[in-house]
Amino acid sequence: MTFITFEPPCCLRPVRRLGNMRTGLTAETNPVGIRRRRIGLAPKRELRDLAVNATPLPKPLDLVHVTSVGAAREIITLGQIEARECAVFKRDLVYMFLARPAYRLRNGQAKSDQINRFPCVFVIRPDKLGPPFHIYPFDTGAGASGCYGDLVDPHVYLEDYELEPDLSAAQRHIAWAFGGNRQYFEGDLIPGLVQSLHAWQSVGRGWLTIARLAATGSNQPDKRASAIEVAYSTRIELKGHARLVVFPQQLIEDNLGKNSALIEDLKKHDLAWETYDWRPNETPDFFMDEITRIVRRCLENAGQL
Amino acid sequence: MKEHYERVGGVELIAYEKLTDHGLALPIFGRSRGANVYYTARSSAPGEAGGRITGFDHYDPDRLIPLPFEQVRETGVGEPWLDIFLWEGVPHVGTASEIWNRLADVRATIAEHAPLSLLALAEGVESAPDLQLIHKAFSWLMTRYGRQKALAWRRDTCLRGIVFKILRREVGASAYKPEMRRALQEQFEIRESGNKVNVSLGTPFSFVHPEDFATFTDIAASFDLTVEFSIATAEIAMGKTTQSSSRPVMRNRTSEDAMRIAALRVAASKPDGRATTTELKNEVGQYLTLTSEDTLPSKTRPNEAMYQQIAGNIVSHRGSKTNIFAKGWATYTGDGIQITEAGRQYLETLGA
Repeated sequence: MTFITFEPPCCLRPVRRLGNMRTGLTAETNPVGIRRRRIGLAPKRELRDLAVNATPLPKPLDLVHVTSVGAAREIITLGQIEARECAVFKRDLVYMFLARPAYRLRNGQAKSDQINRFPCVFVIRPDKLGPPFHIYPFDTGAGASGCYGDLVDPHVYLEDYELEPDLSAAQRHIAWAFGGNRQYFEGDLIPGLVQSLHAWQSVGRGWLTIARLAATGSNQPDKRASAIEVAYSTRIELKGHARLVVFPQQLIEDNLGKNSALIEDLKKHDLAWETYDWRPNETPDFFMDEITRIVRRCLENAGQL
Repeated sequence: MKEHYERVGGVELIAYEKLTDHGLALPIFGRSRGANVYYTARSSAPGEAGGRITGFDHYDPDRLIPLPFEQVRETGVGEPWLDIFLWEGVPHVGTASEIWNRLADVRATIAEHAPLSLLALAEGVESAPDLQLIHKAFSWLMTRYGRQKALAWRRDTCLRGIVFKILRREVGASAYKPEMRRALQEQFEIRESGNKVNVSLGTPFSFVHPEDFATFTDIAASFDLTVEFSIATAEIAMGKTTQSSSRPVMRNRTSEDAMRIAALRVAASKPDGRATTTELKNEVGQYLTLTSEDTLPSKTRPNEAMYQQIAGNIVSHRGSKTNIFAKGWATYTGDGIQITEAGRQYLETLGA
């Protein structure tokens, strides 16, 4: 996140790129980012091969869609998460992450906005959703906008990282890279995995460089860096698919009737909900930690972690 | 790395972004009313009452609502945190106490419709009956959403929130390190079973002791819940001091019980046995042997020491069933306490 510090008495400081010198993870968009492969050139999807012999973990994980309160209201009213135009893939997509409540800031920027000030989360059961449009082992929006810094291998293209568009492929990837659902949820890679790769396996090595940014102990942890992105090209109905909605507790109160309608809609779509304590002076990190805790417990109760 | 900064003038609270149509909203700041670069403020006590502004972050609003001209407030680093509370379409701007007082005529209505929001505001107001409001919120949830939701709120939001804030205060700046953030999610749990509530704290919090959680135990007691702490390898049942661990729990801060007795002594020393909250804060130290931890600055009230904050809590947490009011040793006077005859007799049993 970009921080502006005000020095007393009231002096404004100009915005500056605050970056982690070691990882190169910058707080602002790096205009380079992970490049798209030119049309016509076949991607070398090495990650698929690396995980091919891994046994998919027995418990498939739910999907998590993080959005802002304003957008969540709309989703609940409509009873569906609508596909929105994606600037990276130039088509309408619904983005979710496997299990992990990571989120993408608007246009890949690190500037704080509604999504991290008023976050809401939908936990979605994927079993009846049909095949996804694509699956990537990180947030492609963050990757394309350069949020993973300049350690990213410039000779590995975005498409090279793509997994098979099948949730069992995602489970195999988790088994190969993390060893278990819980480790994946926390972002903790199997230690020493990089040593198992040959020097020429540039996609695998490139991905590990990115994924380490999400690991516990990373100087500037970014959970998007190894969150498995699952995109669908069609809308997702809440009824029958949503396991849980998490939103600020203020929304269950009602002064003017608007929130009653929201609660009625939650009932209409059979949505279970939990709340977190929203405060204007709280840090965005707290909201995400609290949501992560609630989602973790939900997945634990479902036997997935 | 030395950075070059340019002084460009003051900051004003110029707008807000709302979560919903009532309750606390997100205050938005700018250099002037017409600013098109927006900031949110950082608090010295995130998520807690009584903090001060420590800095500003860039913010990209979706639905910015400008404040009316007369409500724009100048502020800056070091100034008290400013809230915006929405009620009936009107933004109320100021410190929590200012807003609380301004809403005096409609507080009962707010408590009926939005008790969670009123409770959030009340946490920043010393004179607010927060324990009553907690019970009000609980019974409102029970009526509106049923027993399960009400119990879940009490355990996961109310009680857990109190413990979380205490732990975050205790660990200080480390609370924002990735390992400690993870520990704050995973290394403490609150479980309820019957009328018992168990607080289980992992090894990252082995340095805390049950006396740090007096507010928590008071609130739990008001729900007739008995509190048990399992701190790292030590296990303490409140009131019984049973320890299952060889690791002793060191007490290095005056307990709230001792503080209550000192408060009674302050009141007993006054004409009519009346002492204001300010007098309690200033004079309890005369009746206690303060430890070095007692005299540390309060993390939430910048001009007070820890022991003064605890003395203030005796009055503000007067709804507790274990305090001097419930025991009939003092009455609340509106701005402090008055010792009762029973209170004087109790002091006599303790001796000089």
